Amino acid sequence: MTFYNLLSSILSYVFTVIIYLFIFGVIRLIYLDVKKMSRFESDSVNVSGVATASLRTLPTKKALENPLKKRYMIYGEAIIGRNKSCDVSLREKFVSAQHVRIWYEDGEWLLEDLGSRNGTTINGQRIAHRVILDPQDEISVGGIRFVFEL
Amino acid sequence: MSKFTGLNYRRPAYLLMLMNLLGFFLLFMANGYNPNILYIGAGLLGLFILIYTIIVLCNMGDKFIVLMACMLITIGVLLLCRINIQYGIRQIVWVALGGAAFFASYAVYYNIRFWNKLWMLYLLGGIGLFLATLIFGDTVNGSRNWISLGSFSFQPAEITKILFIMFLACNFSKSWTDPFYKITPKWMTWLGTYLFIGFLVLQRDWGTILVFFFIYIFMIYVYEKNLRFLALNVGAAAIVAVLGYKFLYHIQVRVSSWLDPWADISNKGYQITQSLFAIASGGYFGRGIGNGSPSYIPEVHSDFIFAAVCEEMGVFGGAAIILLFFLIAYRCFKIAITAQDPFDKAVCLGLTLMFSVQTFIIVGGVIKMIPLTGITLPFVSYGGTSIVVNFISLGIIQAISAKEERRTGGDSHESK
Repeated sequence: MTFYNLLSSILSYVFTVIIYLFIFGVIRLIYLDVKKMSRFESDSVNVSGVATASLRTLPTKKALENPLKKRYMIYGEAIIGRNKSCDVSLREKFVSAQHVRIWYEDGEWLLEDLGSRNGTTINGQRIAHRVILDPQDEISVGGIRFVFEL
Repeated sequence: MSKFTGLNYRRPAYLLMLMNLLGFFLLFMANGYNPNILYIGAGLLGLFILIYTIIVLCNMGDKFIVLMACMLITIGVLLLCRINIQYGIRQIVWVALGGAAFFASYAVYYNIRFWNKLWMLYLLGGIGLFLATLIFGDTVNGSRNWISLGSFSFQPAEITKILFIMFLACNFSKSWTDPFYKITPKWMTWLGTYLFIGFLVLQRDWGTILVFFFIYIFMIYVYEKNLRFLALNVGAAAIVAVLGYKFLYHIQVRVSSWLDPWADISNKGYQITQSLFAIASGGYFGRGIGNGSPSYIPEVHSDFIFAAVCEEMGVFGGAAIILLFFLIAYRCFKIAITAQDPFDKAVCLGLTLMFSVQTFIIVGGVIKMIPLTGITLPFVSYGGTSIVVNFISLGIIQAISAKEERRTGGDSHESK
């Protein structure tokens, strides 16, 4: 058995792993996409009449000037931005003063970019219009990533 | 580069690149450091990056289908280079032409909105191509389905597939309602289908007949409320199949070598048994690229490429190919479901059926599940017309998904 045969046999396992990781990656993206088709029911209104949701912070590689909380709560409506007056204040220079607005209306959670410089993406897609949020959506505000949870 | 900020889209693309780099480096070693392999690999990688970047930057709708097709092409070209480097070099030229055809068909289909009025053109175009094949065609392996123009030859039946699907879509989308000399569109479609199949019988191109017929049957199943019409068609086909088996030696050979290839292993059953040996010797993870002996199988570069994949990349590699086709079909079906225009819906459904039926027929034939008929495995097999036509189909599907995406406002989320 030559060196080449050995290398090739070993790489055959590597190829299998790569192909299946590729398939898995595509399936995961498709899964996130399919979730959009099944709108969630309006069960997020709690007893006090105010809808609540939360943003769970995901670890980020960017150098941050201020530490992030693990979770930010949203009661009915929240504006995310750099200003101290925002409901969710992210004091980083790549976040616009008023970056993005999330609010509850007619049984749906909606998100709208307030003309930010660095943009907002949901599940990797940059948004241009207001969109309906689903639970477990991944929101990226100028690069800081959150998971939207009810 | 702001569109690339979502890390999600990158990972499968990176894995595709890694697969390319590793695979072609391995082949480079296997072929005694032949620099041509590196040129092929670099060319393929460059093409993929170019196509994918244009799709992402120009917001051309669905981003997964082409990615998965690129993975299939990678596996195909790796195997082709390993079988015979000449095939690999020619295949990459076809992929480059296919990429150009992809963007051309995208632009043409996206910008012209009266495709649903042209049923007569599709029918006449199909008949014209068939007549040209019958008159000028060459016979290869018992099928008269090649036209050569100088050193360049192509299979008109592949192009007819797309015309046929557009022709069917005109009827099933109800955009063609006026009877033609008192024949309603439904029966006109029926006549057209059997006319095409009749021409294919004259060419002895059994695999393509199956593809045409299955597309027609599934379209009826989806669109037609009257199940009696479906039963009529299936019944007629069954009778024709039995008659064909009775009177045509060619079909008898196919069926007998499917039922018992071991009876005549040195002659009629040779191809299928070699294919089974190859699949068996691959095991779960394969013997590694370059370690197998796929050249024992006749026609391994076109019809039997799946057996070569199973031998050198294992059952898992073969299953991955089938999974990728599943995912492509799933994405295309989703586009067909969400599309608004009924003609777009029907065309997308037809093209999806074309990919799926072709994959089923050839993979089923190679693993001895159904009788073997020679057609290409989309994107993987060697074959110029097949690659270009498959890319044109992808371009049409891409245009349909782009229309849908722009209608809903720039992304897959529903805007209010």
